[in-house]
Amino acid sequence: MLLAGVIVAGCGHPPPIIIDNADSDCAWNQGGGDFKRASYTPLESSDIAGLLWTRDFKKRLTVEPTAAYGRILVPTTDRRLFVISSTDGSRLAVKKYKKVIVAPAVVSDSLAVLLVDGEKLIIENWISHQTLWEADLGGSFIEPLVMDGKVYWIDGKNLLRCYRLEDGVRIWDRKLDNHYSCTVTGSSAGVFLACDQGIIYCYETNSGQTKWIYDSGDRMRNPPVIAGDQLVFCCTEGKVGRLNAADGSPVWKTDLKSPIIAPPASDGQGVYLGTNDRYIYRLDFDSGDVIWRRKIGGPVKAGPTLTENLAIFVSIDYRAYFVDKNSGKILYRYETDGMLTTRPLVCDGKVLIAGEDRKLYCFDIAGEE
Amino acid sequence: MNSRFLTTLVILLLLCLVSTTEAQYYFGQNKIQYTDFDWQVLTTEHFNIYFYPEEREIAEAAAYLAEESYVYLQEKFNHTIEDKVPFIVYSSPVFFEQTNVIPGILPENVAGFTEYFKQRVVIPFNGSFADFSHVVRHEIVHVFTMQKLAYVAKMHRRSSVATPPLWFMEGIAEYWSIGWDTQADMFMRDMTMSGRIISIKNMGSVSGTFLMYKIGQSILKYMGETYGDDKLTDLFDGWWKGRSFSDNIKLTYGKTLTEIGKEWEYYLKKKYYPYIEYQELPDRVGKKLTRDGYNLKPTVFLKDTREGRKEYIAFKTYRLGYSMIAEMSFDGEKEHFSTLIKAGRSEQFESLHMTDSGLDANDDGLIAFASKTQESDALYIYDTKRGKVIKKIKNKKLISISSPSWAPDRSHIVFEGVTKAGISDLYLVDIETEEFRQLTNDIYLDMTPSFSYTDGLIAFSSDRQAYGNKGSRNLFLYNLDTGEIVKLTSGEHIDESPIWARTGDRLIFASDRSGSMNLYVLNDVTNGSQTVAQLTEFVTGVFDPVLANNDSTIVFSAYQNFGFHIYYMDFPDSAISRIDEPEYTAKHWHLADSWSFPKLTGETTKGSAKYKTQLSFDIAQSTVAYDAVVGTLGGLQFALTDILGNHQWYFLLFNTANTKSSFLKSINFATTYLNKTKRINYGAGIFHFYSEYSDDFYGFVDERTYGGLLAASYPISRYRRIESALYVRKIDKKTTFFDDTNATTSTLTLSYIKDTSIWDPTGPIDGTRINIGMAQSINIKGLKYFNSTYNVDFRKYFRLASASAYATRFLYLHSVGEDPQRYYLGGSWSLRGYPRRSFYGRNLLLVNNELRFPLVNDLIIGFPIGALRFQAIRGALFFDAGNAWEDDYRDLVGSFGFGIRVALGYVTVLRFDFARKTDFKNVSNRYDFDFFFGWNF
Repeated sequence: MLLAGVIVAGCGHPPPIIIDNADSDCAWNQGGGDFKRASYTPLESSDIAGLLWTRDFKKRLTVEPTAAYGRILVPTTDRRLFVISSTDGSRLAVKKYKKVIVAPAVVSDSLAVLLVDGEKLIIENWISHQTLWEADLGGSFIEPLVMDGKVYWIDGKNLLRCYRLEDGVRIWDRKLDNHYSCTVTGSSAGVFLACDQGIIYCYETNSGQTKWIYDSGDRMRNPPVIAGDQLVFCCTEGKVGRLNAADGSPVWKTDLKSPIIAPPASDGQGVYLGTNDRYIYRLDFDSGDVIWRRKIGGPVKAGPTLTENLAIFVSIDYRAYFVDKNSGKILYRYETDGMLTTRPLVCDGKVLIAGEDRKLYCFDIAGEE
Repeated sequence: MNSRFLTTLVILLLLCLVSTTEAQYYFGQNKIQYTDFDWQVLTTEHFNIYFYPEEREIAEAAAYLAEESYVYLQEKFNHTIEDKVPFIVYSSPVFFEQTNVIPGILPENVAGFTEYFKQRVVIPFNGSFADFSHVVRHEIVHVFTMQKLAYVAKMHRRSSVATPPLWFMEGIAEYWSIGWDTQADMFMRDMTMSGRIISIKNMGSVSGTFLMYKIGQSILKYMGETYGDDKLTDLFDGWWKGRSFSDNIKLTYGKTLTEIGKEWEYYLKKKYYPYIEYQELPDRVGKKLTRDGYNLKPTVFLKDTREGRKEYIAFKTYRLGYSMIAEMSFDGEKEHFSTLIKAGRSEQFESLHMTDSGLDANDDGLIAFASKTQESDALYIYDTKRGKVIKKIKNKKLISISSPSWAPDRSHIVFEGVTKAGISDLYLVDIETEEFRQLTNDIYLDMTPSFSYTDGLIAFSSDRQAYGNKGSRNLFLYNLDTGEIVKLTSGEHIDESPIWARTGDRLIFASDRSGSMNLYVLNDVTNGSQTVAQLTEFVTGVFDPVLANNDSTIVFSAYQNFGFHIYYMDFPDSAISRIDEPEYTAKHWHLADSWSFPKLTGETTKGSAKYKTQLSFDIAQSTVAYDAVVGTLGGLQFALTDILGNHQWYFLLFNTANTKSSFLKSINFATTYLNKTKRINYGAGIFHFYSEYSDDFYGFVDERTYGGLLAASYPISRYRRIESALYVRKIDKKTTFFDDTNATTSTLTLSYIKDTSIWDPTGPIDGTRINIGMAQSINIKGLKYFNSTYNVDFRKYFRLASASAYATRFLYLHSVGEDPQRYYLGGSWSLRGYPRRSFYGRNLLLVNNELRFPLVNDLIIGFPIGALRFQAIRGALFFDAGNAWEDDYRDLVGSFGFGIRVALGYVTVLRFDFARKTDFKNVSNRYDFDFFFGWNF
């Protein structure tokens, strides 16, 4: 639901945000469906006008910013959550928490799901900053999934939990057998989990019943990425594969023989990923063949973000690389003052990159200066 | 008058001047800067490489290896280092030992280190490019580890994060530098076969040892292979999450450290137990001759005995903290053991290079060996008949000499020599004329040469094959007449320590080509169709073969049950396996066949420049101290040093005010500059001290002293030095019971110090310590005599067993003149059984006698919240006598009793004393208890 001009007076809450850009094209809605994870935004232009603005947060930015309705949510390591404007980076609101937010703020309409220092999962209205409900995490640092009005997470007791987003009513939970280091992902086909041993589980969203299991045969540290009705996964030793999300049947598997730390991204035409030995790739979505491969300056620790024509990679060599998806040519490269370890965010024709040099960088890719 | 503060300051400054570690007492051994280095800096993308011109090639190789390691480790740690890392390279361990980057003597087996405050990496080149490559990466892993953890803590606003245990730090440094190696495999095989696998929770028992490095490496290898190296990356990335190392393991792996430890132990058993089916242990095949210590490098010689000429074994052994050359018969050391050379106690034999250099004996019973003597190595010849060293040979150009081998003419010796450039080559010396001839002349490591009995051929081990830069070494033959080098063996493994048989054209050598170090024979060495046969199949490792009994017996050292011992066995009638491979046919070796030192090119290298001294913070800390007389002191001390540690500035600032009104006048400071660039270390400083305190002798004291000083220390050798200081100060002292002192004095001090002590966790246990000194003061006004002080402090430690000793101390202090110094006696550090400061005067005499013995070696007390570990609990029985007096001598008083000492790591020792007093006529009827802390005298 879009809110316009809502003002909420609260006790001690920071001033509310006025939503006046309901048409804002920011993709951070994990509700089920196609391409809804922020790795892909259908933005036409490939003209890169360059750096628009930077904002210094005084603290290192280690968590991916997320976006909603023209606002960017930026957690910082001093326990704050900033809400800033995507237009000029101006601060709109800030809230301080008892502990550090350690995962991206997962936004669904007016609600944000915050993972706080392995202790609490907080669901709050990110506009009014009113907390709706909380859950104990028991020492888990795994990012939750929000989809179709539900929130899914793994807690410190190795339970996969499904609760109703708006009021915290428990829907189901189930005990997991293996050790998990990566987030939960989901689509209409189900909720997907990849364990460290490289087994992908698919659970029914309504009941948590196991739908199918796929053993990749190699270790994994990233969740499978949803591309329509397909899943793309990658293994730490270099294997990349595609599965049918409905039944887990494999479509193809390619071995890049490169260590892969960061998750891939897919737009249904290609699979894009960066490796730890400094390469970026595009694989063909249908066959898994390598279309292009480029060497960059450093290991890739965060997944790429895609627009219609661009694949944007970041590296711990302090640089962001704007790459033509089709040719693999590096169209633009920008060097920051710190390691780049979080995925870029695309919002309103801009690319936002959070750096460990404490700055948020905003690049114009819509062809406007 | 010498104020207490001033005396303390001088002592502290002199202690800083001399690089020592024993801060409680004014002794210590000396780190000598023998060599003048013309330092340069080579700048690369991520490093500043500090080197001197003679080792330019090595420095450029270091730059290449460092940048290569950076790329590799940036990926492993997911971390980029922001500032350039200082990287100091020495061309030889002999020079490395002179470094001022850290204070204190470096043990000989330290292959490199990373200093914590400025994260300076300091590494020597030991002749082997592969070893150098390994150590470069090992140390850069430490840099990444420290920086990553600090970064993660800072990023997540943690004031501190869990400290990783030492085994993990060294284990990951080994694992991510060398992966796995034969030596690590040997240690793990032995540990598993012995049935005494050291579990993770008991790693403290081997803390700091080489075994700990290898166990850590094995654990990390297991974790990396089982769970993935990326999980180790995750562990570092998530280090901020847990409160302890165990927490972080659990969070990352989903298993406890204990669970992973048990998995690892099971993995070792599964891997190594099957070996015993077809491999042997050394003591099952050979006869073990030694029983104590670490024993290596045997050689056989003929000795005249009552039963006629018999073969004896000379070998290197490390026992009770000292390295030695010893001899024993073939019946073993329990029948006959005699020490020929003792090292570590005198300038002549500072170090015998236990593991790096062998011995060789000729048919005349002359044993050739190398030892560090002052600034470089010397070649020595020991005559077993006369029982003494008969020759010492040095070469100014060679800083290191090792593994001598006699020529059959007994007038020449071939050995491995290293120049200031760090390059290892073979040299031949005529022992009569002392003329040297360089045989090889290239960058390759040439070691363990062995002269043939005929033909003027020298077999040696070298890394000059194409893959030698990866750590492989093979056997080669050098023709003394033609200078030709011929390949004898090939393969990516280690072949070393060749020894010629007297009978037949063959060489015995050690090799790890089968996976563990075993003995092999190379037949038909000179006829062009060599074949190799395996002689032993040991599950652990065997080294340093030598033949005896007309080649029918092999003597060797082997590793088993956590130790190296000497064994012998009959020469096998048949070989275990035989290799007739064309590749072993000898071929002429050509330089073009081999590798060269890598060099950085392009953008990664930024050029070199002369080194300029730039100071930066070294230590900065606040200090709180309590003195029974003065009271509580709070202050600040910090140091500024340059990268090489040659220039040091110390600043001390504290306040002794007891009231607000006296705050300003009670500001105390001292500033000192120390220069340690050359052999004579010198310093200069200024100071101001003020304090008000009560003293037993003076009453209430109001004392101000300020002035300046110059100090110098000249080390005669590692064990002896002369120190001197000149200070000029203004004294303003008011006391209750004596006249005020208001004088400007100049004092000259001179001391002679000798220290050959070695320590156990509670204090010295062997050797000698001497400090003899005097100080003369004049009143500058009128140049009149002011006062004098004299001190004699003599301590001797008679070793009784590995952890037992009888220690004795004689101390005499005397001060005379105007306002002489007063000395205090009493307490756990001096006259036990009497409270501190029971006796005082300007004369002091003290004699201590103490029997030190072990009680408990390792005590762990478990609590619900963790465990407390005490590594050494020692006992003491003592008898003390002494007194202090002014003008008239006072009869001595004494005490006797027992004490317990509990070592708290290497920080301090808790002291519990129970003593009864005596005036030598009567004895008190009860024990007085005293608790204090501090090292044994």
